[in-house]
Amino acid sequence: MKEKAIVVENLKKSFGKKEVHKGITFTVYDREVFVVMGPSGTGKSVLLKQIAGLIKPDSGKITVYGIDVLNLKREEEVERFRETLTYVFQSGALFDSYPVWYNVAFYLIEKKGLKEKEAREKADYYLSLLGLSGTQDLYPSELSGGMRKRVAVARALCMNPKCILFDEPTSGLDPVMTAILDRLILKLRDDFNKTCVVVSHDVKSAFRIADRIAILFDGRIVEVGTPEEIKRSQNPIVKQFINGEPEGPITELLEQRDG
Amino acid sequence: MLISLLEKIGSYVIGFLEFWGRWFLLSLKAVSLAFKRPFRLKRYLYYFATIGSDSLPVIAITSLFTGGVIALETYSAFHRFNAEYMIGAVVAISMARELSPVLSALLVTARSGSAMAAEIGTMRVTEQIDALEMMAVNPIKFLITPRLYTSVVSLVLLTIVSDIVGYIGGYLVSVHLFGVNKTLYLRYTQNLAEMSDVYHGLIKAAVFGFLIASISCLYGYYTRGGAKGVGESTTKAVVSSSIAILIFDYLITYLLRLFNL
Ligand SMILES: Nc1ncnc2c1ncn2[C@@H]1O[C@H](COP(=O)(O)OP(=O)(O)OP(=O)(O)O)[C@@H](O)[C@H]1O
Ligand SMILES: [Mg+2]
Repeated sequence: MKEKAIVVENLKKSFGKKEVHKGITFTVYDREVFVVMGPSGTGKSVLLKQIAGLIKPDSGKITVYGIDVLNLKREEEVERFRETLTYVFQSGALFDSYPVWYNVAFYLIEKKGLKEKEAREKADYYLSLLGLSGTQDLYPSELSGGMRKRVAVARALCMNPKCILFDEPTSGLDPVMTAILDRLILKLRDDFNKTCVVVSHDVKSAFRIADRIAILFDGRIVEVGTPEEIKRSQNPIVKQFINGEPEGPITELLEQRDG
Repeated sequence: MLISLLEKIGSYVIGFLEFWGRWFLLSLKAVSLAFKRPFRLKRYLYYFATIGSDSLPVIAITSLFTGGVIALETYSAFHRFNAEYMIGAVVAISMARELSPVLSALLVTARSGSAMAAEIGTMRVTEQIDALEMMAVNPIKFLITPRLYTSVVSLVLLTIVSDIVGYIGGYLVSVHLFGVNKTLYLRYTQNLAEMSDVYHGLIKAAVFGFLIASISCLYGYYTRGGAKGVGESTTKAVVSSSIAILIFDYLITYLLRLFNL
């Protein structure tokens, strides 16, 4: 049995009257690519932010490599957690007052106290991994949406944590770039022994990279399994989602809400 | 009727207490975090340059004309008693004790307070503050602490500049426009105005600097909801800072009078 990387137990979260998570339980194992899929607005980003400790759930328990995320007390614990896990924002969340290279090197300079020259070399390396050489001195506002997303990935890689949460890293990227990013995620798992949780809408790319896939719908995980198992699933929600059909239980629920 | 009135008052009081409670906690954190490593002195220099020197020309021009207009307004009254040479002392004292700190503070609020709220607010709604947290960089220490300290120092220095330029404005109007005797003008300033008047104003300036930065950063830090939220935070930051400056101006004056300052 592999070591447990992330354990989420009975997680519940509401915003006002809106119940986003109605009790979510799953485990991500060490050195695994775990893909979370689900319709827009089902709380995939909120789920990742709770794992990253940015949003407090109403109840439940989250453990990341033995660290109890919801009860981080002392500062050393917080720092250890940050070094273990990082989150790539769906929007990128780049610091728009700094150039690209400083965004990537930010952690090394501001937190690790590295000299700017040394940090810049590292940043250049990670930028080149993502096909962004030559953008070092641009500002985030001068980049395209897809480029911003890749800078955000480079920034996360530069922190070199054990576990990375990617929030839709490939949406807005062209097919070639998507394939490159998919390969990068597999490389992170195989060569650098990282654990990756990836939120994705892209069914094809998900099947390509995932060790296991979880389908999130209406506040619950409706199915977890290997890509093969998901493909063979008889669950109507899963079937509608992966086949991208306009008719089915997902649409029915949406219509119920509107009506 | 009565109940709904009480409810309204109650919710207003709660809102008021909540605001100042948050303000107190945030200020306390921002002040004390300065003494924790890493110090990041460069950031202090950066904000000192933006808050301090950006406002300098505006404050110099405003003070020159304010000093001038005091002389202009008081001339006819003093002229009746043949006491025109006392104008210098009037300008010096009113600038030093009251007008320099308040004017500088209001101008810094308009220029830098609004910028602080807008910048931090934008960082909040675009998740940049979350990203800072993600990298284990304390956003309060990184964003608010340097602004708070430099705002205090900048406002004290700007007030000194305003004192001097305002006095020059009064001098130009009195001596060059109305032909008041130069020697008497300077002599009476020396006799009547004291250094304690200047200190009185500088204490105010320091408090105002603290209020501007802490209130503006507070509104920025708790911004919600997109571009509209940023706009609201910015407006509220400027309005609240300005009101706080004028209310605290009275309170500080009252307190300092108890100590004969
Ligand atoms: N800060 C917040 N305050 C109130 N409601 C929120 C907040 N953040 C998210 N929500 C709500 O939670 C729900 C889930 O949002 P979330 O961003 O996690 O969706 P998502 O699954 O990531 O969607 P997408 O695939 O479009 O990114 C949404 O209905 C949203 O309205
Ligand atoms: Mg999302």
